[in-house]
Amino acid sequence: MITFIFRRTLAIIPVLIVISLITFLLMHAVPGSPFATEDKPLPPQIQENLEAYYYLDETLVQQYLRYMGNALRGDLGPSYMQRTRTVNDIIRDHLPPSFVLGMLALFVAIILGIPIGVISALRQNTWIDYLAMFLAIAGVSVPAMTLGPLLIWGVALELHLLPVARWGTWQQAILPALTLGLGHAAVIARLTRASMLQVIHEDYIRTAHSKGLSERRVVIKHALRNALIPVVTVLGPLFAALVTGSMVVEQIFAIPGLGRYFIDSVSSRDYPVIMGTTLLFSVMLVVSNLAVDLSYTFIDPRIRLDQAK
Amino acid sequence: MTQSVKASLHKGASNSPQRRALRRLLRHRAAVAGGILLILLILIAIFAPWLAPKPFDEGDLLANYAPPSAKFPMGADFLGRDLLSRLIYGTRISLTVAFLGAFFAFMVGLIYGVIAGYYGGRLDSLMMRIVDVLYAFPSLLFIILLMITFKTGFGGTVIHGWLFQLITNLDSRMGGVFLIIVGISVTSWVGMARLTRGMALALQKSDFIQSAVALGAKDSRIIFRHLVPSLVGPLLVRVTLAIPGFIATEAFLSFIGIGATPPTPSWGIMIAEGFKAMRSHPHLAIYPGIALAMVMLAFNFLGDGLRDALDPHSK
Amino acid sequence: MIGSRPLVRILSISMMLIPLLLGTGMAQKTLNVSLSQDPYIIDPTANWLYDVPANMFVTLVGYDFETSTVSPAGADSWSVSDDGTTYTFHIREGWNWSDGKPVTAEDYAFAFERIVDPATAAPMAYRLYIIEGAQALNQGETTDMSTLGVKVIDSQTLEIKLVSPASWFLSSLGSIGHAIPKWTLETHGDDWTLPENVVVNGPYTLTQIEAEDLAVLEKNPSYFAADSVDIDTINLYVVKEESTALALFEDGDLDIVSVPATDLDRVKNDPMLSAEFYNGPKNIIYYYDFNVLQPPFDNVKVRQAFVAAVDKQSIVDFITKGGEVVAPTLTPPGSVGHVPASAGIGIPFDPEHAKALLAEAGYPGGEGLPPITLAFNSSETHSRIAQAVQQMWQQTLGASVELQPVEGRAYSQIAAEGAFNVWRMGWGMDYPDANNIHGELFTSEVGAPAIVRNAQYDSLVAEAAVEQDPARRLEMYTEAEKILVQDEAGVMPIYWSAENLLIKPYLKPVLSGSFNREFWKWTLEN
Repeated sequence: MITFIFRRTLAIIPVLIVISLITFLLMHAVPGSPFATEDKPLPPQIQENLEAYYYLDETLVQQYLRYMGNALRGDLGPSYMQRTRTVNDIIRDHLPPSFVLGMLALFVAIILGIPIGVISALRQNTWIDYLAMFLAIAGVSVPAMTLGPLLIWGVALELHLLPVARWGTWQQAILPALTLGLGHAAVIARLTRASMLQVIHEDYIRTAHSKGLSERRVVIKHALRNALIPVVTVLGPLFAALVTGSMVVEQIFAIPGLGRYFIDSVSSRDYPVIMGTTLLFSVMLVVSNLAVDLSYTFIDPRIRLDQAK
Repeated sequence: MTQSVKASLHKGASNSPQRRALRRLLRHRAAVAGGILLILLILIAIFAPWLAPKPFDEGDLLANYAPPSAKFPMGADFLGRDLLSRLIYGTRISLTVAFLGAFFAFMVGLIYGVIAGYYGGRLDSLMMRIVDVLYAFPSLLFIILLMITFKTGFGGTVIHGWLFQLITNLDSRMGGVFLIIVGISVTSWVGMARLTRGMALALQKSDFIQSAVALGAKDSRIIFRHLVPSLVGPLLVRVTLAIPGFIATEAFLSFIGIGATPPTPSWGIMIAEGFKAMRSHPHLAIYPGIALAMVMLAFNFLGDGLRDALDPHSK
Repeated sequence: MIGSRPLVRILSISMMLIPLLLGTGMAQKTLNVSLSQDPYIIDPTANWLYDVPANMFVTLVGYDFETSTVSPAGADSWSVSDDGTTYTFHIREGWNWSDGKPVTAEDYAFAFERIVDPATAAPMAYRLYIIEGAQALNQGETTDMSTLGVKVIDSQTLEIKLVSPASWFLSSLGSIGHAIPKWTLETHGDDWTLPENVVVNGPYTLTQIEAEDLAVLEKNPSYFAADSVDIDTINLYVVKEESTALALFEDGDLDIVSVPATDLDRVKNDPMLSAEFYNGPKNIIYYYDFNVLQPPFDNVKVRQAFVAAVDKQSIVDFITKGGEVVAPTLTPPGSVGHVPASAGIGIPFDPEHAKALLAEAGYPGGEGLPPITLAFNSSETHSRIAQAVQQMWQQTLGASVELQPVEGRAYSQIAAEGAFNVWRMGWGMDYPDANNIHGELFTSEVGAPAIVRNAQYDSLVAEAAVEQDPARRLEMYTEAEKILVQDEAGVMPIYWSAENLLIKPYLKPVLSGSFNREFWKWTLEN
């Protein structure tokens, strides 16, 4: 187990190197200087001053090696947009809101999604099933950018139950977490249902039934456990997707998260911020994938770690 | 030998499994409804020029933001363009994004995942390393970088060469949708591949595959007769679940300003514009929302039906 | 650095308590406004200026757009030499920085030196090239700061020498050259602008800053006119989505907000909101550039035809809807060098004339016209206007127009080099003088490589920059505008922007048309 985790952790390094290379090349292929404004190109001399200041006059290879060298020492570089702050500062300030929002949304998704999926499967083709699935489909169909303003309008402006936007109090977290989580709750519900249906028809469940075990016991002990395998496979990436994909929600609810920051950094060609954010999100994805693989063994003992590498 | 394996797996198979699946599918009421809806949407997409009451890209400025009326059944947008006509034309774009994205993700993911999962060992390791890299790349960030690289490279100022010209030309012909499809395809197959491989791994250990192996069935036979049919169901469900994501990605890219090119009547643009106008001109948010929900409904119902029909273990 | 926040909080709380302890008994006045950009960029010498630093540091002079006058600020008086090239400023006496040090001419001189120093890489340094030695220093031809035409005569006297006389120079100082406390830069380096380190001489000081989230400004008691500053605390919240900002206003979380075009009809028709609605001019010109390097816009008749085919009034009435003013010429009203409508300069909307011009150019009915690319930087407003213009050109001229949204920083650069046939631009006035437009955007020396070149225009603009007689200057700019927007039709001005705001009845802002909000002039009623 320990060796497995160790081996997997080591395997992350080449993955990150490849990702950093791809990102580096892609962002430098994007035309535009980090120091131009939208209204007027900078005079060439000033452009050169700025480029020299940030070593952008070096060759790409030199720039990449310089960046990676610093990154290995834990220094992700300066931000071109905000000279008083480093990328480390930016991540420290903006990751927490995105992270908390992602956790809350994941919570919403699981708490709503799994029970709805299980009930739907157990009551297959009854009105309960249809209603649950209709709601789930409606949930997926409403994109966050429509749901968010709808919630602001209804819950905050008409009913005055919760604050309109911004971040800081628990009341302010509810609407964005719902906006981000509801669609994914629907995804989890449908996935749980599909997987549950498949499992209930498996032989061992029939056997369990025929052994006279109670419905509840069969569902929880045998069926749910197996049915959750495909669900668990999506949880890791889902969490990462929630954290990295909260850009729209952060924008609409004026939350100072990393996702919104990433979009700004791409538009303003803030290379170190683009690199830093991408690498950070990549690490998060890799770790959550690793966690998923580990959880396989707990849920389904038939899979051994050496196969699930 | 193999004949007996098949017989034991498909008890009482009097005619071909495909035909039985089709029969089961047609018995599934929701699936039939979804299928009809989808066929309807496809017909709308094909016959858009005949169905749309007005052109999608010409408006009457005097009618800007007109609410629904006899003249504009679903109202008009900021330029006085008929929203109904734009939605009808938009069906083409949404379905193209949905079908091409899903097709690519499904096929590549299935083939890649089955090969890795079934053969295992060093091949699996190698294939999964590649997947690991792509999987660890946050897909939205990847799409954004990719889109911006291509979209702002317009005019060949940075990247020269015929391939780049071909891509940008094709993209502008398609109103900026081609690159969106490429972006979605490049990132979405990876998840499918991982899922497939995980299930193939689990199935490989299952009794019916093990017994087939024990009975000496050929690899290709096991893969195509036993493995793939068991995988298609969950994968189809997963693909139908992913389609809303594809269309939402299109809307998201419009939201941050790198989506389809106006005046292309993309639903993504309409949704991204609609949410801003929601309080003042609700029709701009409601109708594109309903249109999107219809497509989702169609794909989901059909997906459900397919799953039930294709699953050899279902009753 | 940010870890010491609790200390800062305690400090700011105790500062808030001071008036209470002194027994003034006045209630604290707090203003809540939104900010559409990250507040973290504070240093006014190293970055483009915005609201927060504009309220913390004081320039030599101020500019009042309403009365079109230069007013005393850091300098309480000044004089200009007879040849118009030497300015002598007298810095206010008895005025201290918030740490107790007196404000001196040194602080201003340092600001100018810092801006032109190439190591600062200040993006607006080119605006000081009119000062002796500034260009050579900024372009690295010399590193000797004593060559800069900014001299400290004594602790309260500053002298600035120009390369040539420039009547617009004084008003341009309203938005550049904020005094900088040199000693705090020496102690804290780049962190000198953080709340725990910052020392200010302006009406407000920064007490809290959260990146992408919020900035809090508190009244600075050491400001020379602190008594006239009405609002004690200003919370600036970062809200980038306009519709969210509007919702925050409606919920009472913001006191003033800008209204997006989509919501203008509702706001104007709402009995409650319409009472709080404000509409006024904004010193921004919105225009399209034509690329003369490629056909068909290398032909002046084609350019004129395309301008004549655009119904600007409809764009203003139906697309932007915010009371914008159709612009026949470039320099906005209220700025020196604005050409009055009565001069009849510019190409009016005339579809028949447009068709005739296009036919004369050899493209009757649009036949033979290559497809036109119309580019704009991605934004809802730009996209809408472009779609309207596209429709007008297609319907009137039979042209095939393809829109090209371009994202982010690449835009101005690619466009300037000529990647598109037509591209959108906008320009907000840094100072209210035509030189800010003509001298900095369109001459052969500074203009984008792909725009029209005209030697007569160049010399007119160069002469007007140094001309001292106001009437003669206006004549020159009128002639220059005629060449640029009418005879050459190299640029199509579309409209002068407008400000559309919702303001709570208890807030009385001063909306002078200045680029940055001057909160020290605003008042709140209890």
